[in-house]
Amino acid sequence: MQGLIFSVQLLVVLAIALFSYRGWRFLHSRTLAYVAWGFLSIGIGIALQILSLFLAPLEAQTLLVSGSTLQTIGFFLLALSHFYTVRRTSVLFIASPFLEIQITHPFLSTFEAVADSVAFFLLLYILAETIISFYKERAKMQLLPVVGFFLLTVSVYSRLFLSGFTTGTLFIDITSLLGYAVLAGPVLMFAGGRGN
Amino acid sequence: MTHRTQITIVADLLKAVKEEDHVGGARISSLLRKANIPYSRLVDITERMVSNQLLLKIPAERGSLYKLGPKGLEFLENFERFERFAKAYGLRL
Repeated sequence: MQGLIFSVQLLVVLAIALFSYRGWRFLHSRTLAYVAWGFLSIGIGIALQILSLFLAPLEAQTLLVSGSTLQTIGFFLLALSHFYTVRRTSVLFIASPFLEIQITHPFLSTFEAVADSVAFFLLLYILAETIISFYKERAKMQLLPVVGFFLLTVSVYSRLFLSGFTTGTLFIDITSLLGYAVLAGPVLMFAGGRGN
Repeated sequence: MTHRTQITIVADLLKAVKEEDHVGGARISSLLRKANIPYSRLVDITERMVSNQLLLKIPAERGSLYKLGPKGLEFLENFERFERFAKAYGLRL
């Protein structure tokens, strides 16, 4: 079940990465480059999670940590695309709350938890930017990334506290899958040349 | 005022030319008003766009008229598609 959820997540994420990559190659747009590399990094992270399902616990743990780190790097690149679009002075804003959660939650001691907590704050930043953009533009299409990034934020936040429980893990995986599926909405609309 | 990349300026010029397609083409003075860039830069960019077949330069009684070239229309369609895609994520190209 988990393998299936991860595989669908991987397909959806790679579809977004591929479309953004095409946009980047065509327009040489730095924003689309960040989106493409961001989703590719998330995709490789998910692929490592799939591989970990077939390995012994210790090796699987190493892959899971690498996967989480790559996904966090992906979220960082996505945050960078918003940062590049909207303003050029707020990188430190991302760093300070991350440090705060590391101090106030002593049980977040593993590297994976560190990666997840960074990913959580990066996703919060991306979510805030997409909400602001939605209020500015009032375009219905922008509701999709708002919902998508909200689901991913919920998923990563839940992973910080529920990852040890079976039902929790299923909830996290399904929320994450729904998040990526909603995020792929614009790709489905525009890949076929529609969406006017 | 937002910072525009070279590719965005090219797309803006193509949109401006497309808007005036029904009157037989756009004059450089009209493009100058819409593109919001210095004259010398505009001339340089339009010349390159003509050589790349994005624009067609048609001699007229006074000066020249610019129309969309075959590659220009294709470029503009693709640009607008990716622009809407980026906008859907709250991003700018």
